[in-house]
Amino acid sequence: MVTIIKKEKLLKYLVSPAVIYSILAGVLPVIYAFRNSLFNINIRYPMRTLKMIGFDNYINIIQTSRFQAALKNSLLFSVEGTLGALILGFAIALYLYYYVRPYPLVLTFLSTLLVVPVLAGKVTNAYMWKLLYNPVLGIINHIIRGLGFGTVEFLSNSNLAMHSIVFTDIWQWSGFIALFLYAGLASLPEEFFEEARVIGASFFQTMRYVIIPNLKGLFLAVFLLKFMISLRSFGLIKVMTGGGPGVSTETVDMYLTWLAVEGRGALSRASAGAIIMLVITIIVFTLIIKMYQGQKEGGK
Amino acid sequence: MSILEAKDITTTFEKGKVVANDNVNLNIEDGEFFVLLGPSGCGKSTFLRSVAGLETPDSGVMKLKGEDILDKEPAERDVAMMFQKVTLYPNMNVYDNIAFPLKIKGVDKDTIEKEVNKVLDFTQIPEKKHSNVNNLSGGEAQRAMIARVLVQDPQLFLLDEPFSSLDHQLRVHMRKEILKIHKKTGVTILFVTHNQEEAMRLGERIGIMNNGKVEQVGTPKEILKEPKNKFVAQFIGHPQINFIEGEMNTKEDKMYLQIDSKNYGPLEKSEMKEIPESKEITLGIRPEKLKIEKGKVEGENKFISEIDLVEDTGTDVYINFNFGDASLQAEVPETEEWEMGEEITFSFEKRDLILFDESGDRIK
Repeated sequence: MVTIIKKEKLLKYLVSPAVIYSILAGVLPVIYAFRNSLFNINIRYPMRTLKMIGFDNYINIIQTSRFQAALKNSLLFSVEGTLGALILGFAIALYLYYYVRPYPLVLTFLSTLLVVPVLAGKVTNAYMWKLLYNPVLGIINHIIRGLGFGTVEFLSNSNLAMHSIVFTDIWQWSGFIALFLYAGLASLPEEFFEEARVIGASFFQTMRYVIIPNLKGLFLAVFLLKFMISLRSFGLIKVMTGGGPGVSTETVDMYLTWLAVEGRGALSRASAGAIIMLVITIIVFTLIIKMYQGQKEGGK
Repeated sequence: MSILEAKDITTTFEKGKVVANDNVNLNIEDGEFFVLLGPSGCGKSTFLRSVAGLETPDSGVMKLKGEDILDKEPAERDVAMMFQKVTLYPNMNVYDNIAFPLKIKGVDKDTIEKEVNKVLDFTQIPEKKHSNVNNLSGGEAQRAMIARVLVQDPQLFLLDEPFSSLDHQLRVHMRKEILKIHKKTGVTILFVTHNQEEAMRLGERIGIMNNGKVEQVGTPKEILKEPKNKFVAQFIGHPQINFIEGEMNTKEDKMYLQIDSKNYGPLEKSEMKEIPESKEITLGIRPEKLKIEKGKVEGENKFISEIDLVEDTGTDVYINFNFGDASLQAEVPETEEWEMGEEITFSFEKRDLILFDESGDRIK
């Protein structure tokens, strides 16, 4: 008995540095940002008298059309990029499962290739794709012109720019996601697939009724992970378009950076914007998880 | 009439390095309960999977009700399969699992409900209709899988060692259930197992496989009494058959078996359906056919030995003893006391002998 208690205490001591770090690095900055958002701090006027203005910053920023546009872009980028990477990732995972799995060496080789875009990092990928999209030097336009079409302004057309950046993001992440989903497919008993074959289910029926429902938890986890990553799109968009043309590809993190540091110096207002973004993220995540848990308890 | 005809089925893996099925020929009659029995790795599951369409043989012909099926997809073959693992889908409840094959085929909801309820009643789990499959007991899960097969109304019901992961009690219970289902529905069943007791209890006919080949096909009685070769004799029967190596000697019209420098016989040449060419023979005698007397009893065709080990299972008693190079086992009455080191005399009837030539084939 004494030994068990001692072990528990030891575990607490060993885990506590990680807990302390999480609190310091995660929770404290949020509390500090929230505190700042209630004041009138502007880094351009450091000598200004500190005054508590309550939720005025929140009201102001919500009413700002540029913030609204940035929020829309963030959500568009995150949802489109996440869904796109999930769908393409699943297609790659299925290909690996059905056609490559019998050849372990080929599987290892392809798995390594699939991870390279993520390992390269968003800045490297951003520069590469910026060049690929280039209207004069880019190979994509070279092929388009060769097919008899005109040049496409992927990054300077405000209607196309965001989608072009999303495509780069999908390209970067779908391989990585494919490996997660492949592991999920491989964890299912082979008999699930065989039973469906003997019963007479087509490929799509097997996916719809058997495979996807049994991998729901994994899909959810991957969706949330990728969504979270997408909200931190600063590096990719900054390099590819800088938020332009105009502010058509500006996301919330880019806008807040400009607001707090590059442009206006309105640190408190930017903090309010960041807290709003945090709250939206928590709400979205909670809703999705609740939805999943509700379905799980339904007995299906 | 044969519902399944398999001719010269050969299946190999790893570019021919592994021969799973080697010219397998099998016919299964309509309404028959046929068991394919053999040790692990003998190719019985590969054959079953070939019938289902999950494996493609390299060569051969396979017909289901007269129609070639080898180039048909599993769904087109009108067979249903039950796997060793529980393959009820955890994302569906019991009703939806059973309804799934009909839903896939586009059957209307009312018909699905009627058919599913029918098989639920038949397999005696109607109260589990809306249960989560993870909450089913082992037996209930097996019955739900059987229900899912029955609802498909197949020509041929394929079972791939479905009870091998169950505990003994449940296994015995499920055997009775499957026999009842067979009797009630008359469905043709191809059942694969490595358990010879299961095969003997269930099969109307048994096909014994070894190293990809079919060694023998017959009723349980035929296989037990007239095994084609040593492998079959050894695989069937509990406890395992005893083998004694010996030599065949001929004197005038009579034949004698020389075992451990003593002669057993005579065997009239007219008693033998065939005369073996070789001198070396193996005598096979089942443990329950050995006659054991206590002490040293002199007489013709009697042999002396000493008890090496006594095994008392509670219901049966077996003694182990050596004779020459052979280690033998005999069933003895439990009403008597048997001790290690005790001298015994054993003998056997001619009619209980099974003789094998030097290649291992039975001498008829």
